[in-house]
Amino acid sequence: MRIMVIDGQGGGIGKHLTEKIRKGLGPEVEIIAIGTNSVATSLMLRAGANDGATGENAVIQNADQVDFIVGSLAVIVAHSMLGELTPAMAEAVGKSKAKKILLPINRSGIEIVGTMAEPLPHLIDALVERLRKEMPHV
Amino acid sequence: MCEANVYLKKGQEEILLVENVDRVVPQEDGILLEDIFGRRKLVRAKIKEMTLVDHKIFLEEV
Repeated sequence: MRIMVIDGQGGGIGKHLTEKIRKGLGPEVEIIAIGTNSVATSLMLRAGANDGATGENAVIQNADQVDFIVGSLAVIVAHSMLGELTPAMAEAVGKSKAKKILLPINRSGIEIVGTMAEPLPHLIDALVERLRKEMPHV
Repeated sequence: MCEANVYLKKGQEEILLVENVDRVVPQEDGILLEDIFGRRKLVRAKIKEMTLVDHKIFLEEV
């Protein structure tokens, strides 16, 4: 199973996602870290990603090469992450056949009705559990 | 989300400074607040009260 983790800016959310996916789902899962900047990519690689790349073209080229795309809601919102998430990136994620499992957090003024106000670590745990359901053998 | 929100207390008034705070780091010249997105803000203040069940941290100016 190949999972793409996308993050930008400081890369903190991507780092936590990568750490918990690796810890929760084990070494057989391939984690591809895609950062909108090199700091975010580097942080995710150090957190246990197998491979990583940076920038718009990295998202475009890899979005259809993975089974799952995870990150915050911002990864499908053009111009989010203070503009680091370009319209082409958002389009590539949206067009990808990969299943998108996203955290309901963003800085774009978007509110998702029906989500629980949970601390970030709890949301990440729930995301990992959701991935685990897709991997019965883990 | 329900990380802590940080407020500045001025008398009876509570002014929201930063939402979804992940880190609170005391510095020589104040308190550094960092939210879950990595956004940072240095506030010349000290911690007055933390009510963590309510996810609130109150600061007061120094």
